[in-house]
Amino acid sequence: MSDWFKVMAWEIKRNLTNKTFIISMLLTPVLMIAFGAVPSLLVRFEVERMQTVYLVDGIGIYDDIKPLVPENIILEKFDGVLGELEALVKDEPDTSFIILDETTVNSGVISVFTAQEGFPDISGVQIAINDVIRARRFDEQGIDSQTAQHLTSQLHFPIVSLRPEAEDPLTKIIPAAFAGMILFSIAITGSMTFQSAIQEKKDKMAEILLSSITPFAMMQGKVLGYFVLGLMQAFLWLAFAVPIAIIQFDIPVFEHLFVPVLPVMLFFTIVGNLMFSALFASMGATIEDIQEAGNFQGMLMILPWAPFFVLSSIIANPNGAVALITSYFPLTSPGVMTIRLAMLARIPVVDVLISAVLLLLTTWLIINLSGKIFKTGMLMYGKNATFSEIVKWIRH
Amino acid sequence: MRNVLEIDQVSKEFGGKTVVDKVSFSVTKGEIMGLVGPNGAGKSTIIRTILGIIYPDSGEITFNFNGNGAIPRSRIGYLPEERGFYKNVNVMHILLYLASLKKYPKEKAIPRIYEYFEKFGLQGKEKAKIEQFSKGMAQKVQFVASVLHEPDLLILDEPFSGLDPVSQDIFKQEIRSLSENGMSILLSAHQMNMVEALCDRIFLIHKGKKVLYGGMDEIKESFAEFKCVVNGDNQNLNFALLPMVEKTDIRHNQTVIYFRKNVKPEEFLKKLPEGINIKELHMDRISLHDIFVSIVKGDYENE
Repeated sequence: MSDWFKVMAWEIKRNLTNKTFIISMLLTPVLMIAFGAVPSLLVRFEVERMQTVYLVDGIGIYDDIKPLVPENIILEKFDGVLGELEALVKDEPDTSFIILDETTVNSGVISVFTAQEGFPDISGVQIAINDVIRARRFDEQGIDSQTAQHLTSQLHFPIVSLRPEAEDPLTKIIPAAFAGMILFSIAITGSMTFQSAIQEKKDKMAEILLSSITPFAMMQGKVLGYFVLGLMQAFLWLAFAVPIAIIQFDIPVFEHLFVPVLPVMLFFTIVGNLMFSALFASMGATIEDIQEAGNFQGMLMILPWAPFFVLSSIIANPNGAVALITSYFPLTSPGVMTIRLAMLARIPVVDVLISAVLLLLTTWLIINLSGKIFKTGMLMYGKNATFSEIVKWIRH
Repeated sequence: MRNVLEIDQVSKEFGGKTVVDKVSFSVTKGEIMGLVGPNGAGKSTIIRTILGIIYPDSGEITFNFNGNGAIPRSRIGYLPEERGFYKNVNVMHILLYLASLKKYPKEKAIPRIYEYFEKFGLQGKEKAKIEQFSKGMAQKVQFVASVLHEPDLLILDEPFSGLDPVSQDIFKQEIRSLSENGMSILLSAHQMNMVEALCDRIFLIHKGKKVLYGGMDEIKESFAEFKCVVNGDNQNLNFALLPMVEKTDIRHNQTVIYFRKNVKPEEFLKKLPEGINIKELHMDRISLHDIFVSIVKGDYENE
């Protein structure tokens, strides 16, 4: 059995027998579902709170508005003294009032008076008032309701693609979501190589291990160990996500998953991960105390998330300059290429090849440089390495 | 006796500073070789170079295990000065992992772990985590890790530091027994009494350079032969005036008298000055500790 394989098996076994890792692996999908579900549940609670709106109706439209108001709002007509109404709204929670007279209506600005904090949702009343006043204006102009509807109807601009491949967006979205989930999961466990290297230094195990195996085998085993753990995590998440997608949302996942674009996406995901894991492991080796880790290491840690900063530009124009440059730049290409492959029906083969070759070459280079940094870094005690020291180790 | 390890003219620089300068020595089969020197002398650099953790700038390191030139990592055991172990894994798992990295079969490793745990008074602690151990107990586990795979060459860097006298004795006995069974041991330590008691030969290094190299008796013979410690109030006497005396060291009511080369103790006893106050008198050969201190203080020039 090779040394790297033993290290890999050890990292996997050590984490799978670690309660913290198991709990975080199981809880992450539960938490993700919870984070998705809780806000919508809370919104439901929010909607169920009744709002009372008092209407000071100086133009006599209360009876027309009343039937149009949704159930979560109580609309009441107020005929008393304005000062009393103000006092009432200040005292009672979830209340507000609106004054409708010729001046406010003609000005086009109708204020909602309330003592509530934030912005109470009384849009149902606002829409009703708007509709009734607009209908009255059309009526005054002698325009019947049918014509009015015709005049005010909005124009819609749906995009109809002439490309036959683009008919079913699921064909691309599902493999992209699959690759994205693997990328996300592996990126998380990939950054654990960073923690693992720091921990190994902290536990002062580095020297014992390096007296038994080469630094490269140690780094290789560590990177691949966390890669396998990342895959395990991704498949565990998928075990949650796929049944939910099939049963709850009726999405034919498997029908769209095994398509020709999937291996290409997985290539970028996997190679990209290996590159980042090696980089992170070497960066971990340069750090003695995470609390005092320099900006340089911190900047590198956010690199896998860099495509998110240009996400909107890539979605807006998947063949644009930003998309093209970030596809060729190896540190962003894994994420960007996954997005582009999902969005474009046809991506030039040359683009894919250039990006893939650049990514492979950079990964090879980074793994080699990381090996040098890792080797020296792991044996350095007492302080964090500076940027100039790291450069010196690489050049040595 | 066959050389297991040969170090020939090894030099190493760090940041333009020479930390190991043309060092040569060897370790023969079954011997305990002491690598001694003050802090920063270059001992750990030499050890790391032997282990292939760092590479020498020049010189050669030869292992006569398999003759293929590669560092036989699986046949070397190492207890580093920087002690450590995985904190959240039980020690049995860690020891088996380290044995597997040394290509040592699990079925042989398990009984040896139990055997050593019993020998070191750690029985029943195989499933415990290192954080549950005292410093001394943890050090014993680390020692087990270094010898578990029955190495041909064992490198011990400060094995006695932080140990109580009882544990020091246990380690001492074990090191001696391993050597008697044919294991070659390179021992780096600051406890000169331990080095003197255990080592067959020593290599003394100072500022990266060889100062002394040879058999223990041979080295002791090459320095001032004897010293005499007199306890009593003798501040009015000047022993240095005696022809056989090299130097004296007076502290309160204790006088240490170092004799010149080839002076026999009885010569001094015959010439004891009148009025000498003797409450206690010891006549010893000069200790390795004295030689070490003298050299580090610069009393002797580098060879």
